[in-house]
Amino acid sequence: MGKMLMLGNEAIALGLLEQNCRMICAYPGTPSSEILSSVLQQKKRLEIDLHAEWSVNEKVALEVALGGSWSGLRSAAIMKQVGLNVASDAFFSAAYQGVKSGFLIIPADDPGPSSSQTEQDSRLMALTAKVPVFDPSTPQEARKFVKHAMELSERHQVPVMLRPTRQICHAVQDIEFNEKFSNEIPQVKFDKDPHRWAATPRDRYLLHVELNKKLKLIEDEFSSSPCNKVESGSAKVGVIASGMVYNVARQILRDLNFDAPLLKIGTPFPLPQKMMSDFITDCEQVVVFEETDYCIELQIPDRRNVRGRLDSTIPSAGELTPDVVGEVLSVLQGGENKTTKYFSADAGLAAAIAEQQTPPRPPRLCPGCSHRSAFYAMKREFGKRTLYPGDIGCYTLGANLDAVDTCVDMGSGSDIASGFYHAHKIGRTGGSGGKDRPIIVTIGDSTFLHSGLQPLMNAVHTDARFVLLILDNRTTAMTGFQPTPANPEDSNLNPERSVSIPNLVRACGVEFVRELDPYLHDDFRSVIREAHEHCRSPEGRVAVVIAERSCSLHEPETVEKRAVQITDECDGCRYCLIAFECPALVLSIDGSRVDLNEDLCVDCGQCIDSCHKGFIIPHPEMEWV
Amino acid sequence: MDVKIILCGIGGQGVVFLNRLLARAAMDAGFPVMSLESHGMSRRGGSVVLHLRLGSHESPLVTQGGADLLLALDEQEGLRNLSYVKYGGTVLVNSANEFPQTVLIELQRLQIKTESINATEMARNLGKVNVANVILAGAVTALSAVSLSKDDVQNAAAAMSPKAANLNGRAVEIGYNVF
Repeated sequence: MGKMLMLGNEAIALGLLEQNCRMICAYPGTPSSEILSSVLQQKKRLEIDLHAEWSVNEKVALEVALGGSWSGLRSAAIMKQVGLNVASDAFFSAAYQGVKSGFLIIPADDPGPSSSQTEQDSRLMALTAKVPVFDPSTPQEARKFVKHAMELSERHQVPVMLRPTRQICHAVQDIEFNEKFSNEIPQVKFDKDPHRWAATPRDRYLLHVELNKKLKLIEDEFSSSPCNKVESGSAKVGVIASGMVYNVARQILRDLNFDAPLLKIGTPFPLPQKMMSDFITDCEQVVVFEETDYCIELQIPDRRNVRGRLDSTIPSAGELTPDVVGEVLSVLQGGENKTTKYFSADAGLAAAIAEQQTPPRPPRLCPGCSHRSAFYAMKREFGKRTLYPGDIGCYTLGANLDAVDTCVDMGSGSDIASGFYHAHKIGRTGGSGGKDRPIIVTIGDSTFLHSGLQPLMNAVHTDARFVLLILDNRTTAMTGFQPTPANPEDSNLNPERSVSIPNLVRACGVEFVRELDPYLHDDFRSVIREAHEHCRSPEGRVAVVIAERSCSLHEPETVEKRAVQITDECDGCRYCLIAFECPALVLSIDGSRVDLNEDLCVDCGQCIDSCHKGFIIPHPEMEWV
Repeated sequence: MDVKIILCGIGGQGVVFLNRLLARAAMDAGFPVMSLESHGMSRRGGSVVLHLRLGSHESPLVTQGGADLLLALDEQEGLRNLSYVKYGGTVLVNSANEFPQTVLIELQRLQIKTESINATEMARNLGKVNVANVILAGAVTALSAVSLSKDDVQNAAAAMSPKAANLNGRAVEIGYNVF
């Protein structure tokens, strides 16, 4: 028995291992990534016989894991909330078809959002797909809910969702555990049943009816589930809460001496209706706190005495911080003439801080990042008039260098480029004018393999003309260096089984394919120029340039040591700060020059090209490799 | 102990390690802990804010005006997050400078105890600039804001990173001796 500080994600991984889950598939994405990383660590350390993989995308992860469950192994698929969109086709179908051994879908939601393109609520996806949901409020509870969810899934033969938010995934808690995992591997056997596993539309109607029956039984079970509980109170206002915001609300009730009855919901779908209506009937009014959207509130049939997002009592976007919850609860406690005020920022102090105008410090590409070199070369060669559709990854931060004009979802860059190309072509031939502008798309290696291939095929066969720049840093850098099929370092695959990105591109019918190190500034510029000319020539088509260089944070040893010096002549013109935007280049306090922050600098020497005036030079006393 | 702490700094400065160090020390001293870390987006150079609660089972999240202690590894990030600190709370910032006068006046009015120490310089003198976070942890133990001893933090650091036990032990010592 030991006690350990664990991230919520590590606690979920522990729960999966404790529940004898033998197949775990994931695509990385904040805030979910550490779940599979932790599983892989434990698998290696304790030599556990299970199949764990970083799948090529979320749909693949869900389907592979489903195959595991249908074969008789407890299985799980893990992703971030927008990853569930990618996997949704399989998700919806699997709800009808059901499962054999316990099957969990774990999408991590991101209220805020802190690192996502939407604040969507995966519980609402589950409601639409008719999949039961568990919503944990602490790391320890997330671990415990894995057990409840696995057992429920097996008992009713349905996929079950465990939905943590970022506030659970990245919470840290002291957790007691022993590493006694079952070494029993169940019999693995796929039992053929075409009316279920290969169901036709006629079968599907019957499966839908069956699913509805299962949900009714599950709702009844949830009414007496230990995951839902009432804490009594004397106030006439009741509080219903789920997830991390349950703890926040509970804390604030205590701080305010507000003795409101509290209903904690751990199973937001299907909602235990009897329990809910009993609680609501006993109160004059109730307020519902849940993240990220209104899943519980929406399922309450009579909302006359219910306050929440739907009546604008609670903001309908953003995280429910204690500041937000404190404000709502102190108003409900005091009524119109409230006297109690929850903690808040002191106005005088806040004003003094605001006066200082501390510049924001947004995320930036790292010192030595090869993406920066590629973007800089691209911008120098093609300037502001060019269209730069981008994609999702670290390199979305190319927006800081004005090198990313669009970002929709994983893999969208080439599709937006095709749309731009065809639209502008119609604009020109239709006589409404519009210049023929170059289009250069950027996408990372992991994102390209995730969902960038079909857009490329589509562009080739519809004859869209643009340059696709694949920024291959040989890892999934933003989420913590997970391997891709092009570099399956941690899996058992040997290097010969790696996917070749250039060969994939050629197989799509692309003729112009070049691989080059973006650190070679002049050569890189001329190759992109050449690619553009090819793609716009009469017999040309989409051209692909692959910028090949390892992530400088993941493999710092690959950065050749090329120390620089900023000469005394530097006049503080700031061009390098704006156009190259390296965190190691900083404006001096009096603004008269640019200095090098040697703690941050990795000696890549790339900034030399960013000073036209020649004031950034190779360090005279350091030898260059 | 029921202490609400905000930790802040810039990605890459070791804010998460500082958080884990204090959390580990508190856990080993028998207190429940809960924290909310921030991961993702930029791996280096962005603003980082973490919430840490020692000795309570409730939410780890701290409100504006609700923190007992603000620990800042960077002066500007410290300034940005000062409004988290409650009346009578404590601020410990890694900085070569004092906060601007207008801000200091407000902090005095709110009886917020404010300490600036140049942990980066001390770490550089120790030969390892990235232990500024551990020096700050040592300095915390000399203030009354947290009931953790110098030994608690040294032991936690040794348990978390046995290879760096010696270096971190000295860093804690240096921080502790500032006050």
